[in-house]
Amino acid sequence: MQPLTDEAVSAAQQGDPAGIRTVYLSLAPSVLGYLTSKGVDDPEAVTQDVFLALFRQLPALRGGQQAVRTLTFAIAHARLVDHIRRSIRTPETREYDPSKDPRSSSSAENEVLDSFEHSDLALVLQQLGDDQREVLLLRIVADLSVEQVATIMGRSVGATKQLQRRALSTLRSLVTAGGGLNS
Amino acid sequence: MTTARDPEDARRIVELLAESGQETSAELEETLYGLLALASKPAPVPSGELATLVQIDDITQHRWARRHRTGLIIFGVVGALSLGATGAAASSLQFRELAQDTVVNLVNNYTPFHIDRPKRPTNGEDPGSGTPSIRPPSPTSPGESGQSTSGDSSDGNSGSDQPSVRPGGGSSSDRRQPSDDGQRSSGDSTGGSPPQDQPVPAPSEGAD
Repeated sequence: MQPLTDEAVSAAQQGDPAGIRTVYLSLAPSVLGYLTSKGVDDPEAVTQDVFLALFRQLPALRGGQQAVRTLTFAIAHARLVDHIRRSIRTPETREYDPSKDPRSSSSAENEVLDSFEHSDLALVLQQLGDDQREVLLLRIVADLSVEQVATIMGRSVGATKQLQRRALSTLRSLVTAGGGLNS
Repeated sequence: MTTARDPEDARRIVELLAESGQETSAELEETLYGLLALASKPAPVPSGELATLVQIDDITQHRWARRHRTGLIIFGVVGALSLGATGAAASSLQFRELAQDTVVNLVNNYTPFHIDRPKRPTNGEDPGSGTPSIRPPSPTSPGESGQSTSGDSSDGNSGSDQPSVRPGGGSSSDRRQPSDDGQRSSGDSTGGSPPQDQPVPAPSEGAD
């Protein structure tokens, strides 16, 4: 993964294609991982939505790469909430997509994403509370600081730390009792 | 099977656990490493408006997202050109020529590199006997593919630097032209030198 630097962000804000690419390549893997772990149906498509929204807001953003990272996952978090709400209201119907037909050959990426859904890690995460899961994903997958996670989740820093502590404690209980991950 | 851990990953996990006052366990650490691994998948191939913003086509993005794999693909291409198609189809001269043309067109049209077309035998000899040569991207071709890989190792675009590729697992690396030297990863993810193409317009509002 490419490191995201303030210089790359500044370049991207000026419309430099290299800077824009760096922003995308630096953050897209984490965004994809975050959305995949949240069970989004089409994490790749939602990832692209996130970055379209990010790049629209990027020119006016202040705070360098930290601010970009925070905004990126704030957008991803919001997209996720929207996605869940829409799924509840309107059951999704889709045209046949051969790429999603398990009988057709799968790309390596699809195999990786599909494998998570059925992995022991996913099963363990599902047993966490929603907020506990969220804080761990934002801290670990998104590589955000406690302060950044607090901003995204709308909590105080102290409350976020406490939530993180409980999440790790719960997680340890789950995986230790279960003998660890088998995947 | 133990896997070598990235020191940075290890540092993050230690920091997280210390921050939370949590004692660690092997199972907990394994789980946390599993979470970290979620962030290491290749970036999705941009499409539509996003592809325009980042100014890369699907194929190039796919290669960039797979770190350091551009060289492997290039070598694979060279290998394919040299060795011809595999399996039963390898016995078909026409099939191999078609495969070679397809590969050459892909590389020449979608990457900054250029492959000279292999000479066609006129008397039925093995077309794979010649080694296709790969030329690095021209430093004075701003519109070529509209992108540069960071593997364009010449920050100064001197043109004398060879395409930086890492040999693949097969012997195809042996078929690189002798003048290629100093190969390194073409996916060198430092951001590389800016592409010599038109500046992308700033993201527009309400473009959703």
